[in-house]
Amino acid sequence: MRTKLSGLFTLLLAFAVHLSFAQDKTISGTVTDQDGLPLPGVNIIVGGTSDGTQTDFDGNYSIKASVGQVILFSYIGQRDERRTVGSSSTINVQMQEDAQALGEVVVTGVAQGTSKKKLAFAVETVPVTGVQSVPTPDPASALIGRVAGAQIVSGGGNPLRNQAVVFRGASSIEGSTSPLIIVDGIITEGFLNEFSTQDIKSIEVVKGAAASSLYGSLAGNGVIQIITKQGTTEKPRVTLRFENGFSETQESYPLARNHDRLLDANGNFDVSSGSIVPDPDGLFDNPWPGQLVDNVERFITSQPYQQITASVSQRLDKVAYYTSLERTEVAGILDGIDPLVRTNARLNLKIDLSDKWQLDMTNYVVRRVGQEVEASGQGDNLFFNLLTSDPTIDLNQRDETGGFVPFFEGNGFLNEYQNPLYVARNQDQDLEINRLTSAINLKYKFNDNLTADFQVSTDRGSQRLINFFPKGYVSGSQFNAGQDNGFIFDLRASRARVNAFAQVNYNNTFGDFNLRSSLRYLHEDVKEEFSTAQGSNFLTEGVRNLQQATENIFINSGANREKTQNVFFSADIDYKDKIILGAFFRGDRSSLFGQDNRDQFFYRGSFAYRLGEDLTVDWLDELKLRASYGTAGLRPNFGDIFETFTVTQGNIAPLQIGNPDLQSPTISELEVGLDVGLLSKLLFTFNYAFSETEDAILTVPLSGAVPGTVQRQNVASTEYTSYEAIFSGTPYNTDNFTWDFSVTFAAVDNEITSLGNVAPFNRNINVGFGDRVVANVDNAPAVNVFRVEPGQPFGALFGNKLVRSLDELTVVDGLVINEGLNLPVSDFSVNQFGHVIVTANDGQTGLVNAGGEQAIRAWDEDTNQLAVEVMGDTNPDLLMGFRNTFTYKNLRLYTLIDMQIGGDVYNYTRQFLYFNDRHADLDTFGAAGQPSSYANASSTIYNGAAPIDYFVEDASFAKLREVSITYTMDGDVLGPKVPIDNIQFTLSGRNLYTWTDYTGYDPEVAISGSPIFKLDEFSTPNFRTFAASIQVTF
Amino acid sequence: MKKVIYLALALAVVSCTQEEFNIGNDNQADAARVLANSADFQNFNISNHTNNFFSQIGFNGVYFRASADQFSTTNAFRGFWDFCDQPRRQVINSTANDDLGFQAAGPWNSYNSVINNANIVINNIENDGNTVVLSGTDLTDQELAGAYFDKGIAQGYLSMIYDQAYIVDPDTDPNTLEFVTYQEMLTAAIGNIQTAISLASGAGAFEYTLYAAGPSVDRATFVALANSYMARFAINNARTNAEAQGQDYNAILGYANAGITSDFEPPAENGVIWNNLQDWSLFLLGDGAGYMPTDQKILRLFDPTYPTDYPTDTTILGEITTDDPRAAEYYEYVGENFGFLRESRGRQLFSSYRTQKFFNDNNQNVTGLPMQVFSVAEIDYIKAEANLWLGNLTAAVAALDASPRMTVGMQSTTEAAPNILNALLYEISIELDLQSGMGVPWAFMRRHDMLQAGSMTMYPVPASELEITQDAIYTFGGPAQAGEVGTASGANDWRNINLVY
Repeated sequence: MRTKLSGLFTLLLAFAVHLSFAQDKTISGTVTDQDGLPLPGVNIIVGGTSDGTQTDFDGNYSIKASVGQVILFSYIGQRDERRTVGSSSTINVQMQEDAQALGEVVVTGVAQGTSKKKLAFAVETVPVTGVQSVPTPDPASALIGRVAGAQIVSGGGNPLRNQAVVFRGASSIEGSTSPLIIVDGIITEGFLNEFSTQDIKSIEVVKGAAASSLYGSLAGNGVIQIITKQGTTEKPRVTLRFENGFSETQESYPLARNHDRLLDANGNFDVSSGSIVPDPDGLFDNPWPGQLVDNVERFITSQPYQQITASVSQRLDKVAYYTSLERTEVAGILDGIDPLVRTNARLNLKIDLSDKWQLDMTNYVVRRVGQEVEASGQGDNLFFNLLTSDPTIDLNQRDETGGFVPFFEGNGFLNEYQNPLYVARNQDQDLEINRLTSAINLKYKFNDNLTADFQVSTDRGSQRLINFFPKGYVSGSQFNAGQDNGFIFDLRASRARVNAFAQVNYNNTFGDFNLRSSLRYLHEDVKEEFSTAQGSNFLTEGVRNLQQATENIFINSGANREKTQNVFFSADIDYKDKIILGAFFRGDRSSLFGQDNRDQFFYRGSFAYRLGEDLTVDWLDELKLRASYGTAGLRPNFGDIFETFTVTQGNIAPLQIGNPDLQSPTISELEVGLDVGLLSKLLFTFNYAFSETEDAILTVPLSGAVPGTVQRQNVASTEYTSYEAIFSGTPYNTDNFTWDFSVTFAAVDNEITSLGNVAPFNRNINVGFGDRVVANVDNAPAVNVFRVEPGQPFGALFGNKLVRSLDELTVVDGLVINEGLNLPVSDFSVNQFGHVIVTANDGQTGLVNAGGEQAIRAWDEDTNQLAVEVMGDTNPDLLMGFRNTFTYKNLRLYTLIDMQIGGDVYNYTRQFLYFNDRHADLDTFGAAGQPSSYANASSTIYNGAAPIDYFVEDASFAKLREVSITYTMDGDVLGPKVPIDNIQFTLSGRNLYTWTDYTGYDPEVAISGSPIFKLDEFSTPNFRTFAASIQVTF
Repeated sequence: MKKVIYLALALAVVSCTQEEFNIGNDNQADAARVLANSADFQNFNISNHTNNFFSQIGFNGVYFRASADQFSTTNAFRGFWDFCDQPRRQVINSTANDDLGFQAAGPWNSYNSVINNANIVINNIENDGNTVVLSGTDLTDQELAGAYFDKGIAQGYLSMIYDQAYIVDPDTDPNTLEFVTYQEMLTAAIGNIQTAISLASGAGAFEYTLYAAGPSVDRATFVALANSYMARFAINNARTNAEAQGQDYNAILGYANAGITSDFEPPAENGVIWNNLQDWSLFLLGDGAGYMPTDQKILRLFDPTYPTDYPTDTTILGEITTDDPRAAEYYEYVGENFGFLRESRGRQLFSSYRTQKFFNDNNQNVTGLPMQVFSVAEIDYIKAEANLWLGNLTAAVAALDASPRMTVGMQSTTEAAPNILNALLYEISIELDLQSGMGVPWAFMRRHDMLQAGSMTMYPVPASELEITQDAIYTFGGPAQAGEVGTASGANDWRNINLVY
């Protein structure tokens, strides 16, 4: 195809040459990347000729060409650039990264670096320049709207928390749904938010087993690989970047402005009977006495964001390096909460030891400290206390000591109100996380066909959480002896992974056939240790150690160990780069598998046909049909295979029955795709994937008649179908103006197909992260809406339902049995809110059995109980992302909009605020003349805090996720005496605006590290951030 | 090329190693470690003794207190309100009910766990032929007696609480289990407790230790306690008044006569065992109200002029009038301090009293604090009731006069059957509340049809178990089912009783 294009160019050029009376001259210039850094090794060809050259280490070149001739600049990972020779002898070119470049080399999911042209499955390369220009310290942000089929949800506005990531559909019901994270080939136990976005060169993503088989039992949830920068310039390249900004929320929460208590003639609460009493009219339409105070507005305040990055890189003859140092401070939106402070440093080093030996070293260290807060749930959750507090109390008022008032007495609505400002300033939950990731990689070249790689890598993480209530802390009038006399909880945990692999690669060409093959042995050794200690009732004030505690002393410790070895063989054969066949086989032997199933095997077969190579269409760069079928797995947690007894002081009892047969689930995926490249500008990719998970691991509850309460078994099956489309390219690319865009679409359906002999169950959400010991300060949700049932999607919401038509009533022998009634259908009607009631009870307060107007709930005839049915599904119908970058001369505008269509969220915050008389909906009921008890008390709308469809809401949204505008000032402007290559000025914002019908803060909620669990229980709201940055490059 | 071959061979050899992947679990013990030697074996057995008693005074007893109108609340936390509300509600027996683990599944799991642990001990000794020898002393019969005792007590509670349950012995095939009725379960329980008495009587040295390094009971106390439990389970087995008429009260009287003669209230051990039922039931809120306010029933028993339900207008009820000193000792008037009671959920559920009997500054989890498990008063009332059923009214009154009713409360009882029954309702509701573990007032009221119509008279097998066995899920309670199996008829609803003593 290139040949055809070249031919066309030749004809055009010949014509042009004829017209211009060609004159050869020397053209010279510098080629840089989009950051202005020189690019060495750029291929430069004069169109229609075989004349070509490459840029040197400083990006400089010179070549002979004639006026009117076209010079083509090409480089891996960059879009091709064309310049027509004019009167000037200098042509400087700034290239733009092209994530979807057809010839780009990827290293994820493949045994050796492989051109995308030769891939038979989808590996997406995520451009990071956009996300590097907006205020976010989390690389997961780079995936939003850019990776089709990825759900990335920030579970709330706590800066310490990582964003939850799920690719396509969940392949695990009980375990983690998070993908494997690899950094420069190093398998890490960390989270994405521990890595600097500024260090990243690119991110590669494989989403399903068809592509992730290479990682076997580690990669059933897909893989994210971060590839960091390396030195590229002969002279040291120094970059300093300063970014400052602030964060805030988009809108306030809809809280009630009225109540239903009796007022006296002066508008105060009528306490003539000795206490505050209900208004006999039962309507929520009486204004609060006194001045309403917007405490939410006062507590959620604009807080600073700051990031400072310095990096130095260089590429010499035999040595290249990149080193960076960064400090990030994110205060979020909560007044009085210590900010997240992340400090990280990196050193990447590449040394050509000889013609045969090459040494790569990577070292990264990061430290994250901050103050944890409960991000969801009740208890000490700041938002719980904030939203439920009395609206006439100024939480910001100080007591005689200048401190915040610990709590406020109730006023007949609640007993008392804990002041979240007091909690924020007096309870310490200090979290510190450290991570060291390093690797040494040695490459040896036997000859042009045979090479070997050796790598030893280590990933060591540690964390410490101290939850501390000082002696003298006031929890409220309900004196909490376990807290107010001082309390300390101290968690220390460390986890270290040491991997070592040896790999031989044999690549050769046999006529028109090209062979690439690899054999690897990988040994993994993971150790984890943890200890917790707690105690209360301190002897003295002002001391912060464990030995001060004299009561409620609990200690806990443990150690886990995992050893796994893996052997794989990979072979890819192509015919003339056109027909590509791949085969892969891997065996995993892990201590985490039951001893009778210690070896697990995974495989992949793939095929691609580059149909475009056979078509003589000039505008067609690529047309590739591909299909891949592969398997991957997930490892059980340490301890899953063992028989265990609970052994604590005073309690020794069987807990779990061992399972020597426990194995990895088998996740098999068929991926069929199409890649189309057009006009050297556009790329369209379509993927269809169908995945089945067999032998998914469940905690199987056992009969009360059996010793032990559970056993971990391979019993469940799930499947998903995913349709993804990505359209990207550069429609306009001139000297002065460039428009680069990408659009992603994804629709995923997932279903639980079988639970074996296990009955449907409520998914227990522990707010944890699988096997790993992680500091966890959140309470488990007070309401459990996620039920696992065959035939339903994983993410189905179950609960009670309101009956909305007479047809939905349950009638037995001519009588309606809902709510334990025995009344004829004729006694029922639909009220103004669309709910079925007993007609005679219209306007009466209380439950229907007591003669009240109660919205009738659906009933199960078989069990003669409240029906529990599917009432929603958190899985979105469609995910979309729209990314645009417009460049005009030195000005660049970048935007990202992402959308979710469909999917539900359970708004428990709203449900609970009905109970607490604080939700604005109650004003609406009052205005409609409906007694408030219909919604907030004994009625079934509140439903006694149990799940009900009334509080299932549409989670659809569109977000203006990222915007930045950057002006690049060339160093030339400053004159030759100022050694600055360029200065970039950027104004940016993130999470700027959300369009949604969701009535809470944000439909983007996720607990337990999974976007599947969209349950809003006083979740800390997500926030938006505005920032300005200056980047100076020397 | 040789290098490649060597490398491939090395990889193959390394990949064949197996032993390094047999990594053990040092964090938790398995059966082999738990039962490794006589000392560990005994520790396991003792921990089951702890489980046995902790289950009886655990949180799960709250729901029986609610159903028996011992306390009132509108607080929906863990479904409290569901069990206190009027009219009574149906028990939500569904795994979709997040509180099921505290309600119907709570005692099911805890008592079956005790039975399973006891079976491990019994199997180890009887079937595997192991012995327990410590410091040269053969304690095999002692440990076996303790295991049978635990098993019998746990079965007794299952018989008292559930309509059906499993009888599981060490050689029972789990795949062929079938439910038995609560009457059959009682028979099994009595049999196992009698076995325990027999073994204890025949053992050389004997003691029953409640928790590791904790107090022990001697042989005589153990036997008396075993008889007391047999009396408790036997008399509390009937679900209705009609069923109660058919019980063997001579046998019950025999158990009671051999029962304890002093209160069994061992000391709590912080973090190990404490009276958690009291802990929840006695919690004091900041405004002076109780977290679980005293129900109107208690107050009306003291003062028959007091209303059965709290007035639904703005009235704040005053203090009760009674000459029983226990009223002031056990309860406190809090007036309009309603704590967590919510007007919009029904003012008829309100109360102006809180329960302060055994109150210990909102914390029962304190080492050394007496845990009321079984009191002599209960034996007195069992004797009184058995005599009442047998028509020995004089003996019944004598038993009441020997009880705290007279010795503490100075309350006499007329020798008339209705008056004696009223006095028993009074005493069991007031004197035994929070000092008899779970369910005793509730079981008394159900066998006299005194529960409000629609109250559960027993738990169904929890849905979590029925889903495992793939049996049909069912439930009890609710006004529509009043008078049917498992649901109180309200035929002798306490609110309608003429309270003459």
